[in-house]
Amino acid sequence: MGLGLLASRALRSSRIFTSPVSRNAIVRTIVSTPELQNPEASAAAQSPPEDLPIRTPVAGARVEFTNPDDAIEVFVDGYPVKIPKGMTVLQACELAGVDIPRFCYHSRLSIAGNCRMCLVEVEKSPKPVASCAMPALPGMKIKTDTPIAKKAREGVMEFLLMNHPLDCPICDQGGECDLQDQSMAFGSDRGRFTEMKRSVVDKNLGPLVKTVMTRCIQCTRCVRFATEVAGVQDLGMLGRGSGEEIGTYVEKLMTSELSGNVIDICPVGALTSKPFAFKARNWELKGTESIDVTDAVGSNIRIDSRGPEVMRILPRLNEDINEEWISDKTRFFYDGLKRQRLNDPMIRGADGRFKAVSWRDALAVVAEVIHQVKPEEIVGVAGQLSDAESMMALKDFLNKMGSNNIWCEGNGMHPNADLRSGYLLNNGISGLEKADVFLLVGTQPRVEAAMVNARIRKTVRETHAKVGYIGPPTDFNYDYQHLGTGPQTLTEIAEGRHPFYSALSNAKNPVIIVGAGIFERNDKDAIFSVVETIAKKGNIIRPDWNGLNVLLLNAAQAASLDLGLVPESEHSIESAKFVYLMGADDVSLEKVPSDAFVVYQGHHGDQSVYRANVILPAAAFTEKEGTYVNAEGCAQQTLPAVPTVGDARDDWKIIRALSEVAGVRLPYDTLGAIRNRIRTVAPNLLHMDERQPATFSALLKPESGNKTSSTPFGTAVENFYMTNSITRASKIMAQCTAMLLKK
Amino acid sequence: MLARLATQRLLEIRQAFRQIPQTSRSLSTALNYHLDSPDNNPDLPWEFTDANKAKVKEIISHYPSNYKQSAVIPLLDLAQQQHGGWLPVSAMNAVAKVIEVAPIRVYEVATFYSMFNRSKVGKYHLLVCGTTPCMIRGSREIEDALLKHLGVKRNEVTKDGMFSVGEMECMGCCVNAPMITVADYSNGSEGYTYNYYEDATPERVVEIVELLRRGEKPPRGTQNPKRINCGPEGGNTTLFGEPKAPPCRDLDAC
Amino acid sequence: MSFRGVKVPANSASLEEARTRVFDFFRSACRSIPTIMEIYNLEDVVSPSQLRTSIASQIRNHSHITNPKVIDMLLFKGLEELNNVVEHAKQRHHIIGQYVVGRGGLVQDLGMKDQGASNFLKNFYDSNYF
Repeated sequence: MGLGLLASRALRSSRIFTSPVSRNAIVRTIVSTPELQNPEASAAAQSPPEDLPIRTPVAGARVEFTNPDDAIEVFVDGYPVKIPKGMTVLQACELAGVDIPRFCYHSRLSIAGNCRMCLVEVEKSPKPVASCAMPALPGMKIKTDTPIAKKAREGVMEFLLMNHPLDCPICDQGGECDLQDQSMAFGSDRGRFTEMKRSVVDKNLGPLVKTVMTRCIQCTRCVRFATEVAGVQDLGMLGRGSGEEIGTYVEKLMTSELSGNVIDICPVGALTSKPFAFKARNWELKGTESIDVTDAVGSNIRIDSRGPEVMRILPRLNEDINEEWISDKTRFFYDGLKRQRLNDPMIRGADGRFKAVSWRDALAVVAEVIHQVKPEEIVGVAGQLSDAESMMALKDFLNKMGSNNIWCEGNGMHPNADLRSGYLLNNGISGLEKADVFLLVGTQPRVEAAMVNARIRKTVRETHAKVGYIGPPTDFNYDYQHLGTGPQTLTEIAEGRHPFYSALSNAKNPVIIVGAGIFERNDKDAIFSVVETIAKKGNIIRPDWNGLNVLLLNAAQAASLDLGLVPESEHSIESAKFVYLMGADDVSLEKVPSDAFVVYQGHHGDQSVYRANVILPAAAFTEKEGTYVNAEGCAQQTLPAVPTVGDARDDWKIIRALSEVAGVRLPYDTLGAIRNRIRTVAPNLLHMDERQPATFSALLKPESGNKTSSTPFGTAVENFYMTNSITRASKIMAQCTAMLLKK
Repeated sequence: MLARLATQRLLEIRQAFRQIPQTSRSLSTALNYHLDSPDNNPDLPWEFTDANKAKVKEIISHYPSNYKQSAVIPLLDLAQQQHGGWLPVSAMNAVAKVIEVAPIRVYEVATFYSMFNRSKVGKYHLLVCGTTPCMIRGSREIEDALLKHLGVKRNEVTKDGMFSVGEMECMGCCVNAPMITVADYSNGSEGYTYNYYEDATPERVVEIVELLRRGEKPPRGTQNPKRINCGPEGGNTTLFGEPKAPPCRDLDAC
Repeated sequence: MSFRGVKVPANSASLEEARTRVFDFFRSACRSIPTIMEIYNLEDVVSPSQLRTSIASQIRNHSHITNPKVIDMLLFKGLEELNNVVEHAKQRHHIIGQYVVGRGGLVQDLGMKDQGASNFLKNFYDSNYF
């Protein structure tokens, strides 16, 4: 090192003597660091580091060598790094631990290479190269912090800021803006642009995405996202030169269930969240890592809260579930948490009006009534947002009261809870990427589980997998064949009479996805046996590949089946005298006898409250710690982000307290104790973020005797934006329903 | 010190020259987004004529069947000729349908190229070259003369719908600068012509307009009677002999 | 106003010194009980011994504190409070609420209702967070 430094010093001083470096005073330069004014000199001054400090890959970037022969070696700032063939220079730099500034490059989108921010110097290349679009070649010597690279970035940044308004103080992206951060890190301290800045007309993209198009830097991430991931080809790059702008040309709302993600990928404040506009700054918010419960996918989310209020919801990276996207419902339903909340225990008086009472009185009334009815007249229904702990408590409580009529809504009256593979997405969501043929039976994944649909779309886009669909006509954002509408088509495939049968049987990794809407049908078992016949014939269930999947609808479904929430008798609700609804709003209460006593425990005044006699206010998923199992059988936890509203309590605590008042005290006082109880019933619920493969294949099931009916499959989710009590209370979701749903 | 003064002065001079706030000079005839109007909205039906349908087939046959979208530019051109020199939204939608892409992909192309007009133009669309050589040789005067004679603004159509004047970038006729181009949409896509009128003068372009109005076809090319094509005025002054053999090897013999 | 007469005591050097100060404070508080009874007209609701017990229990609430600095601080607050009370800076219901009825509140039969209930249930009635 010492020698090199000396040599370079000598070199530099000799340069000063030999060549009169013309400090041309008239040239106004913006480069503030003097050595940048003379890049060659300082480039020569830099000597290769000899004792390299260890660098770690950026953001835990990892590399997988599918074929060890394809490995090539490149040098990033003198650090050797081994990468597979076909990787770009930028990815190589990331592996070497150098974060290259970028705007247009996004690892999940195609490469555009139009922002030029990622310029790096490559030895023997006459000019800086855009690292995001340049494939790394063996032996390439990449330099990321040379004066040339720095000057290139500074220049690009100056150009980008030329037409960018300096409205950071009123911009919602302020504080989490890539342009802001990178101009601080790589930009110059002044600009030379004195002309008029351009301005662009704002576009109306609907109730979710706010546009301030003047801030746009034309990175085209949103265009690529809409085209590639969301599958709605609405956005485009219009015009040319300085008149270039992002838009839809003909005014059109963005009718995608993933449109909110353009807010995250926009590196500047051009696309921001409309409901969140001017509400808070990102540094005021407290982030809580939680999971989403609006569908059975269990997308990983971060709940940003300020004080007692949920301000926004952002996705969290989870490669196996939601990658880094979330659906619009997940992202924007949070305002429903502030409306229609139940905050006090209430008892319906003789005049039919609810009166707020104390917890003591409310529990005493419920405990008194539950002792007056016969055990078989007690019915408990868990709602679609219930966590595993409270379902366990409910089941234990009602069992102690002598009743076994407990189920979770959406599971139908005779669910199959014995074989775990019979109600799970056995391939896993990320496992769907390996599939080459899909058969969707009575499921519309786009509205039932938007993230699963995004995964299928990704697969279809990458591998041109075939998709066959049986069900009512619906929207898909990828190519599909509509095979039929009812079970008879399924029977045809099973008997090999249908043309799709050959596609299915010739496929290497075929996948059948059965929608959970079928659970409510009377011929459910018959349909499943037909599906199993197809699976048997098409060699879909193999030791290495279980392609027979069920796509659940609700967050609570999988956990409730794991815990064995199965009703004893089919018609229990018709003869019920005491109905305990734990957040169950989608259960049909017309059949409940008029003299039955209905207790509603939940957080929103939704459909079931109209029939309830007593209301016990509970905590929403943002306010409690609870375990949820997603459609692929992966247990995950929510964490409390905000305090409970009013006098509400956690669900399991209410049942635990009620059990004591009723004289059948449940033996757990803490969440830990209740989890110990769960361990004896379904230990898989305690293994967070693990998928336990269903050990029994569905083929062990006995053949069902009854026949399939000819009624076509129905739609399980009528309105994507309103599926549960929280989303039904949300104003934003109501706006989406009014504006975005096709009539 | 001197440098700062000099920059200051330079800035002052620049400010003085820029009296009117500079609006971005757009060569396109329309905005980059669509506004519905009675003669231009997505609900209007639009289809290629039967004769053009054959042409569409022919154009698409030039491209591999899985790269149909490559035909977007020739098809937009054809649609523009058919629709009297401009492209309504419904025409772009029709093109998108033919090449089986999302309409936005066609809009992107149509907004990129300034020779696709997305608002109404006259039957004769006169384009004045505004690039440096033509500008030095007086294209501003030519445009002024045209606008004054027709009584319109740039990119505006005369009341009778016959003429409109626009500006365009270099068409490669710098040797005969200044020049104008006349895109003739009066006869549909069959009689469509796109002629250059070079060595124009303010008087001559007005004459050309009047000739066109009468339905005559003024001779295209240089308007200077003393020149033949791009040869010098009054005939050749050099290169009288036979041209020399090419300095490189004879490629045909290889 | 209320700080009049309240001097910031010197820091206690040791736990022993702090302890003596607490006793001094208790004594002075007990001495002012008759005055307090008189100015707030408390004869019909409380007896001097009850008030003494109340003061003693408040001091015992902090019996676990061993840091002389903290004791000094609490002592200062106590002195301030005593001063406020003696100077009639409070009203009758303040004294009754704080020292006669205490935290239990006016409804005295609560304990009966929750008798036999587990700690869980008692906490449950109180709040969601325990």
